[in-house]
Amino acid sequence: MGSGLSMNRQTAFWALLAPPLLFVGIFFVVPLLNLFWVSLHGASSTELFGSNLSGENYYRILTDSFYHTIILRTLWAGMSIMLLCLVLGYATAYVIAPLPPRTRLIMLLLLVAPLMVSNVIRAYGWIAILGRQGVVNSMLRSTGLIDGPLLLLNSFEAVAFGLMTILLSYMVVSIVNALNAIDRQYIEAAQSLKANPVRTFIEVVWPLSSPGVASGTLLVFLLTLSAYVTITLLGGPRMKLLVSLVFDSVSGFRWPLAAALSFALLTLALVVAGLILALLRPGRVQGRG
Amino acid sequence: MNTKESVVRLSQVTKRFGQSVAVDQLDLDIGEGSFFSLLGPSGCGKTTSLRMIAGFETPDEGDVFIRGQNVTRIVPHKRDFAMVFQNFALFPHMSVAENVAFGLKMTGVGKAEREQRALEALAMVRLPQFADRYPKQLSGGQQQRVAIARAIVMRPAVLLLDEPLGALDKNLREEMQVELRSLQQDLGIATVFVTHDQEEALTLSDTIAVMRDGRIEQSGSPSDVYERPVNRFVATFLGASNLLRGRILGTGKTARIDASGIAIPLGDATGKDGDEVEIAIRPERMSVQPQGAAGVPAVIKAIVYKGATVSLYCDASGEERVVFVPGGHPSLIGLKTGASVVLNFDPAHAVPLRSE
Repeated sequence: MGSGLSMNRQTAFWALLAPPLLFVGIFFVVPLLNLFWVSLHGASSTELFGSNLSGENYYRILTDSFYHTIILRTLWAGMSIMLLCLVLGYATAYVIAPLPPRTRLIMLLLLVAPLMVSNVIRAYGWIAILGRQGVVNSMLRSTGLIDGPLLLLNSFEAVAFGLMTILLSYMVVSIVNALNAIDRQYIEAAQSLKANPVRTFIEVVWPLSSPGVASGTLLVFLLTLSAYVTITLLGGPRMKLLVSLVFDSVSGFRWPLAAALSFALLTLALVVAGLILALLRPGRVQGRG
Repeated sequence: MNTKESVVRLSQVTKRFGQSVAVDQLDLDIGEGSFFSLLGPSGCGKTTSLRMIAGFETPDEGDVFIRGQNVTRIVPHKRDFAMVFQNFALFPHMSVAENVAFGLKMTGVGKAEREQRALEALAMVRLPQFADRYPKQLSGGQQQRVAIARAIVMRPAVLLLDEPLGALDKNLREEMQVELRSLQQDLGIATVFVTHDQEEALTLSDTIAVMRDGRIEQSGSPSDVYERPVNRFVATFLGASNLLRGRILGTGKTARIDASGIAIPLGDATGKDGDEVEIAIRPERMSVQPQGAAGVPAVIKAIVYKGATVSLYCDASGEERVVFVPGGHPSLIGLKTGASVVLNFDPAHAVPLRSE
């Protein structure tokens, strides 16, 4: 009877898991392997990719300083946006978390409101605000603070600004949930053990909120890597990141190079995700009991 | 009054939450080395009182003193107490040793010394071999001990215990009661213990304060409070009681019980001739006699066998009376549901209650 029951459970386990597994397998893993296969070929002017296996795409990415600059810039952009979001998001979450549930919900809804507008429209909105003839420049000029228009677009700042209005909400929601999951008794226990508010935060609140920090930073970093529309529209030709290169290569019909660049992007994502998890170790405060 | 130095004193402390008064002009005085229990039903204000000693709640009126210092407006981390929480509140991201050494680290004790002292504290709760484990790898009883070690390692003026045994199963709870008591006596540390479990309070305490609606109804030694409850609430909350009606006689020194005509001494209770008075008798102080003996006639409605004792639920002219008889006692022989018996008691065990 016992083993029969566990057999049934096993069957149910795999039966429930099979559809998503199958879906991911067919529509993600297989294409990804295919993409890797493509990346191992040279370019061809008539076919999707050349006929000879070669590592030339990867060799170029690894040796050409142009790609190094872009990879470092991507890493820098992702990390700094992530850290900015972390600092601003944690502070916001820290204020929102203790609010009464109703107020908290309203605040969170306000925070996620920008997500209801499409990426493209939002980016054009920023262009209208930050552009040469934009709201900011015309206001500054009418007050006489500046003579010529400021170059606000096509910069890292513009991209960071545009991305953070969206990504901050992911960070805040993640951290608010983590902070609210902390049992008040832990904080009181720290106080009873003579920890002042700063040390209570460093020793208890921060580590206990690490699952939320980990998911928030992962989301922000990964979404930054792939935020093609915002990066292109607000960063322009001067602020190219890895994802822009992938698109440029595709538009130039250099499919194998685009595939190899995608894998560079994927590697970057995996390495940073691994670092975040190794640093924050959210697992140590999860699965209590 | 108090021969021992007072470690914790609450003076006319009142705490309100919105419209409701959680603690109402409470006075408390906890002496050096004493084990003091706050006992009462949920919502009686016992936990709020404890939290005001810790500083997690601030009184609306009145003052809190620890070792003579007025700490009413002082933040928790600057007060001299340690606490064991209801669910232990062990930090999940720290090892057992780090948990126990945490308070020492916060007060600036050097690494070598705090590791040494943490190990000593763990040895006191018989868990030195678990120093490197994490809380989630421990059983409930072990977590409980770590929580106690984490508190006593601080050598606080007062140890606050917020229903610390509530999360344990019955056998473990009894074992921990004994351990907690002997540890507390060895260390001679003043302890305030909050519980709703009367047996726990009786087992552990030097002094029990029975609370209701934010006030203390009675406080005293466990035997005082149990044997001489002052009013109906204490008589029925702390153990079971048979409540009889009586009337004060003549000089006000004795009362006569309506049902049996037995006269009992009034003791401290006062009143004038003819006043009604309620009288409590513990079920184990009542005896069952065969029909025809002196006492109140009754019919047995139910016999509940509990091993060490047997509970007899009887009907005495419409009133329910409970009698606890030791299991295997001769008076039980031949007793059956429906049997007619006579209930009796020694007048010395009858306690006249103050009207509420």
